[in-house]
Amino acid sequence: MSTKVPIVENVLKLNDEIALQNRKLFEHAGVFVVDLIGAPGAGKTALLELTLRQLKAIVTIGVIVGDPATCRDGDRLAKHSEHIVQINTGSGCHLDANQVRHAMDRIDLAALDILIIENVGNLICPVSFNLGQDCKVGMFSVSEGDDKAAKHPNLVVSADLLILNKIDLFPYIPFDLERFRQDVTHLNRTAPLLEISVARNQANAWLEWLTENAKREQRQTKSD
Amino acid sequence: MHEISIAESVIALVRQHLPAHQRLIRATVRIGPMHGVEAQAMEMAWNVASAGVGWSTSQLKVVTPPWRFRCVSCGRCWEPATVDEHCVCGGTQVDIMGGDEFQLESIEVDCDTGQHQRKAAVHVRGSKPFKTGVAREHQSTDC
Repeated sequence: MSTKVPIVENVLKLNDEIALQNRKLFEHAGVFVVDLIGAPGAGKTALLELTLRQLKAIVTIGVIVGDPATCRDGDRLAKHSEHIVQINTGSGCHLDANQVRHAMDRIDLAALDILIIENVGNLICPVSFNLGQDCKVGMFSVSEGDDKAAKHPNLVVSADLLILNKIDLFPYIPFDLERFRQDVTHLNRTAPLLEISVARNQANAWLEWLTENAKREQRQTKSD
Repeated sequence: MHEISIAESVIALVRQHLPAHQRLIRATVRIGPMHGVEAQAMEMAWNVASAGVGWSTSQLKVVTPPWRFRCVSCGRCWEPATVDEHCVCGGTQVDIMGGDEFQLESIEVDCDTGQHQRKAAVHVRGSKPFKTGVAREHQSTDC
């Protein structure tokens, strides 16, 4: 004989509990934290290189970067900031809150204005795992095709900001921009969509969004 | 392959609720299509992960509720066949009313040692169960 025990709890409740601890540490330090999610090759690391380079004089930025293997991204970013932590996930296809928690032991949060967590290149798995971030940023690129927002609804729905990179490739790759925009706003009408070209150094909208949010976070921390 | 991670998360959660000295027969999870979890892959992942903790006779039941949209323009609620489906009124924006569920719903245990009943501990968005046999189209704004 068996009995059924109703529960109704979030499957990732234990991850969420650690994410909440992370968030408290971020808030205490007054750091604005972004979880950057995109496919391999979308240009996440290139965007962060540009960001670290261009904002160096204004804000202090740290990066936790996740990859299945190698320290290549960490090495690229370390040329622009001393606050870089590389995580190798092995076969893991996403970062979870506990991995970020441990990475925080290797980073001086108090020295930072902004922490960007560059998630493992993947449009599906990282989205469901809360890391304790302030904002989730979803990144697509023109070379991936105009259907990727429609095919990855979880990222579109969950994102606070969406980025379309590599717009300099429009002359070379068939890409229905209006359809892409419509697929985004169909599911998420509040997240801004920034169309940028890291290769052409055209990412000012992103830099402004990032610095404005960091200022807001600092004001919030001071007022608390 | 985040199904393995999710299976391990379910196991950790079940451990918190499994009454002492009782055997897990079945865990039921409700995972909406938004999370990109494939039911068969999830059940396979459960077989691997549950064997690792001595629950090899247990089963995982994956309930997959449908997407459920509410049109921003006209308020109509419906279950789209695909996630990019627009409203018949021509409206191009929707609110997600269902399809984002991600819950451990219940566990079934061997109850030789007695009855155990617990009330739902946490309400999570989208936790309302979908009734079977409900028509796919609804004109009501009550989603």
